[in-house]
Amino acid sequence: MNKEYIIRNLKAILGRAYPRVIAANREYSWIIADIILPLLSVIAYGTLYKFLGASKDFLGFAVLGGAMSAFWLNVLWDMASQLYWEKMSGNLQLYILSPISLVSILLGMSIGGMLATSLRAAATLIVGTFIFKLDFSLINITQLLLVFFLTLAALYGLGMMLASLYLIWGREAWHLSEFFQEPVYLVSGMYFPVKFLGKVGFFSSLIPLTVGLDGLRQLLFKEGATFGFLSVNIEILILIILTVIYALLAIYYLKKMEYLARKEGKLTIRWE
Amino acid sequence: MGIIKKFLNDFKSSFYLGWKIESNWTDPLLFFIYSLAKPLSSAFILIFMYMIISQGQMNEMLPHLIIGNALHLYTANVLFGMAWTVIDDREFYETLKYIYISPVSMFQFLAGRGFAKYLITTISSFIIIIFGFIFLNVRFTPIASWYIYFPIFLFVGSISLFIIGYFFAGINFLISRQGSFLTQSAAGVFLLLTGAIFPIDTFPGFLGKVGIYIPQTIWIDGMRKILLGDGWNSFFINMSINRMLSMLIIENIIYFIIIFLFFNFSLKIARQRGLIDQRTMG
Amino acid sequence: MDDSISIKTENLGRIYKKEGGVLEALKNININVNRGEIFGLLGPNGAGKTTLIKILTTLLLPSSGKAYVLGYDVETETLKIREKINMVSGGEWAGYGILTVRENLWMFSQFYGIPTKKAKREIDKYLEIFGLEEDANTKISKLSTGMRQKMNIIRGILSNPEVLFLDEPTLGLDVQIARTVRSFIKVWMKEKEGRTILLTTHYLNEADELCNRIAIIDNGEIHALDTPQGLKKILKNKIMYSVELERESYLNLKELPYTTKFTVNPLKDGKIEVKFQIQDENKIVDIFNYLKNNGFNLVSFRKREPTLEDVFIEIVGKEFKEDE
Ligand SMILES: Nc1ncnc2c1ncn2[C@@H]1O[C@H](COP(=O)(O)OP(=O)(O)OP(=O)(O)O)[C@@H](O)[C@H]1O
Ligand SMILES: [Mg+2]
Repeated sequence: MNKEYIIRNLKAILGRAYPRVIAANREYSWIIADIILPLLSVIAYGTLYKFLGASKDFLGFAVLGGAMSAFWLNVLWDMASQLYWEKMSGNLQLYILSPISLVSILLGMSIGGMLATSLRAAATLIVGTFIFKLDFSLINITQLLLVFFLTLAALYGLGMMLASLYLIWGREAWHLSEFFQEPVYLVSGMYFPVKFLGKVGFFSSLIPLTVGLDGLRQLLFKEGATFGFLSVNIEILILIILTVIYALLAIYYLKKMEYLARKEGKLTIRWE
Repeated sequence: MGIIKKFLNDFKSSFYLGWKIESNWTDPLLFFIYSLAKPLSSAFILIFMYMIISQGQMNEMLPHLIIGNALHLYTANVLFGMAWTVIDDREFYETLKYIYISPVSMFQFLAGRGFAKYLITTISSFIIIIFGFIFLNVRFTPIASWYIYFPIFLFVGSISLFIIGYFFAGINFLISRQGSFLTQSAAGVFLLLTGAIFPIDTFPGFLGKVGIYIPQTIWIDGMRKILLGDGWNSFFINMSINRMLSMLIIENIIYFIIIFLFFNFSLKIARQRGLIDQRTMG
Repeated sequence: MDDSISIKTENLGRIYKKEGGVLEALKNININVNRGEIFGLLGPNGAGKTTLIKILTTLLLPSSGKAYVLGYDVETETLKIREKINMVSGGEWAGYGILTVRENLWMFSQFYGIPTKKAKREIDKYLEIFGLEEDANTKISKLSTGMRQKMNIIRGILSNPEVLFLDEPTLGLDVQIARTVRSFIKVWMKEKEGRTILLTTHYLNEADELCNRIAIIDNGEIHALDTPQGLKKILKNKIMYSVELERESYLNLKELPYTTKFTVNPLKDGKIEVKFQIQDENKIVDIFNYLKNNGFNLVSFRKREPTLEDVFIEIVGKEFKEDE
C-alpha cells in the first residue's frame, strides 16, 4: 500500500460523498419530505403518549427516536440499497474498474449520508422539542458525544455490510429495505424504551440503534436512567464491538461480492 | 342497463390487472414482508406503548386501538396505493400512457388497483385482530343488530376509501415524483386526524375537529360502536349509529361530487401539459 | 513480456451457467493487440464481444486460459491494470442525475486520484472539444443520449488511460455526433504515443475507418483477424457484382444459377438490388438471360470492390444488419 494509493482513496471518499451532500441541498422536495415524514410519526407517537397520560420524558423518548429514525432510513434506503441501484445504473462496474477500493466508495456514501441526515434529524428534534415543550437534562456530554458518534459508526458499518449482502442475496433492494424498516422500529425500541422488550433487547442489541438510542435517552432525560436497558458504559463497549465487527464484515462481504460478480458475471448486469 | 354492465366488465378487467400487479403476495417472502412483518410491527409499537404506560390498567382501550389500527391500514394502503399507482405506472413501469389511451378508463383502472390492495389489506387487518384476540385477550362486545350494521358500515366506509383515493391520485397526476411525499404523508396525516390511535380531541382546538369532516373518522368510530358498544371520540359518543351512518353517507356524496370533478379536471390538465408520460425520476 | 504488446490472450475461454447447461461465450481466444493500435472486434449480437471486454477490464474472471493487459494478469494483478485503463460503453447511464455534467466528471476523476485543479482544467478542455461547454452546468438527468455519450467518453479519457476499451461507443448516436466521436478517437490516439484502443462496434464502416486491425468474432470464436485491407483480400479471387433490377409485379428471386453469396435488397419503386459473387466471369451473360426469362429487367449493373460487409457475410455466413 503506497502513499499514492492512499491519497487516491481519500480523494475517492470525498468524491463519492459529494453527490450525497449536494443532493441534500439541491432537491428541496427531498428535504421537506425527509423532515415531514418522520415528524408526522413523531407527532403521532408523542400525542399517543400524551393521550395515555405518560410523563413528559416519554414524549422526549418518542421525539428522540423519530430523530434517530432518520439515520436508520438513510442507512436502509441510501446505504444498504445503494449498491443495488449503482448496479442498475451501471455505476457499480465503473467503481469496480477504478483503481480504488470499493470500501472508499461506501465510506464516501456514509460520510455524505451522515452529514445530510444529521441536518434532518436535528430538524425533527428541534420541531419535536418545540411542539411538545420537552425538558432535556444533559447528564454527561462526553458520554453523549461518544454514544452518538459510535452509534453512527456502527450503524453505517451495518449499512455498508448490508450493501454487499443485498447484492449477494439477489432480491430487489426495495423489498429488502421494506422488510427491515418497521420491524427494526419495533425491536430497537425506536418509540419506547427497549427495556420493556425484556430478553429480546439483547437480541436487538445487534442493531446499533437499540443500544445507541437507549444510551442517548439515559444521557438526555431525567427519567432516562430509570428506563435504561444497560448501563451507559456497557452500551459504549457494545457499540465499539459492533463498530469493529460490522466494519470487518463490510470489508469481507465487499470482497466476496466483487469476487462473485467477477466469477458469475451477474452482479454487474443491469437487469437480470 | 348497458352502462352498468360495461362498467362492471371494465372494472373486472382492471381489477384483474391490478390483482396481477399487486399479487406479489404469492411470493412467500413478499407476503411475509408486506402482509405480516410491516403491519404487525407497526401495530405492535402502538400496543407496547399502551401497555407500558397503562401498566395493565386502561386495557379497555386496547380493543379500540386495535380496531382503529386495523381499519387505518385500509386507509394507508388503499388510499396511498391508488395515489402511488399513478407515479409508479408512469415512471417505473411506464404503462400509464397506454392505460390512458386504452378503452379502460383511468377511473376504473384505479378502482381495480385499489380494490386489489383492499383485498390484500384485509388479510393483514384480519391477522392483527386475530392476534389481539389470541394474545391480548381482545374481546368484541357487539351491539344487538351488529349483523345488519357491520356489513353496511363496512361497505359505505370502504367506498369512502376509494373516493379519497381518487383525490390523491388526481394530485399525483399533476406533480413530479419528488413531490409525491405530499401524498405519501397523507397516510400519516390521516393517522393523526381520524382518531385511529387516539381520540381526535387529544389535539387542541381546530385540529381536534377537522376529523369530523373526514369520512374515515366516522367509519372507524362507527365500527368501534358496532363491535365494542362504544366509540372514543366525544363528538360521536351520544350519536346513534343510524345518525353516524347518515353522516357518513352524506360526506361520501359530497366528497364524491367534488372529487369526481377534481379528478377529471386534473386528468385534463395532465393531458394538456403532457404530464401523462412525464419521467421525473432523475 | 514484450513491451510493445498491450493486450494478450492465451486460449482464453469463458462460460456462463444457464438453465440446463452452460453457454460458451468465448472459446480459445488468442489475440495480441499492439501498443498504438486501434483494434476492432466485429461480430453479431451475442458473439462475445462485451464478454471479452469485461474480462480484459477485470470485471469478469476467465473460465479458462489467460489474459494480460500491459503485461499484467487480469485475474490477479487487477489494481495494476485498473490504474491504466478505462472503459466506455454505448448507452451507459453512469453518474448521478442530480449532479451536473462537470460535477459528475469531477467525481469520476477523483477515483483516479487526479488533483482537483488539474481535473477541472482537463474537464473544461474536453467539454469544449466536444461542444458541451454550454451544458457543463446542466444536471445530467436532463441530457440527451448524444450529450450523455459525449460526457461518457470524456469520463473515459479523463484518467489518461494507456488502454481504452470502447464497447459500441457510437450506439444510438446520430450521424453527426458519431462522426465527432470517431474523429476525436483518431485525434486522441495521435495525441500521445503508445495508447491503445480496443473497440467493438456493429458499424462496419466505423471499423473500417478507425481500426488498424479487426477481429471478426462469432459464437465466441475468432474467425478472422487482419487489417481491413487484409480482410478484404480474402475475397480477392471472387468476382462481385451488384445488379439493379425492375420486376414485373412482386416477383421473388429465390435462386440464381452460377452464383454464390447472393443477397437481395428491396429498393424504392419496387426495384430490387441483387448482390452476388461468381467464379467464372463468362457466366454473367447466362445470369442476365436467366433474370430476363424470369421477369426481371436489368436497370444497371456494376462490378464492385469487396467491402467489409462482404467479408462479414463470407465469414459469419449471414447478413449483417446495420440497424440492430
Ligand atoms: N452474465 C451473463 N450470464 C449469462 N449469460 C451471459 C451473460 N453475459 C452474456 N451472456 C451470454 O453470452 C453471450 C455473449 O454475450 P456478449 O454480451 O458478450 O455478446 P456481444 O457480442 O457483446 O453482443 P452484443 O453485440 O449484443 O452486445 C450471449 O449469448 C449472452 O447471452
Ligand atoms: Mg455487447
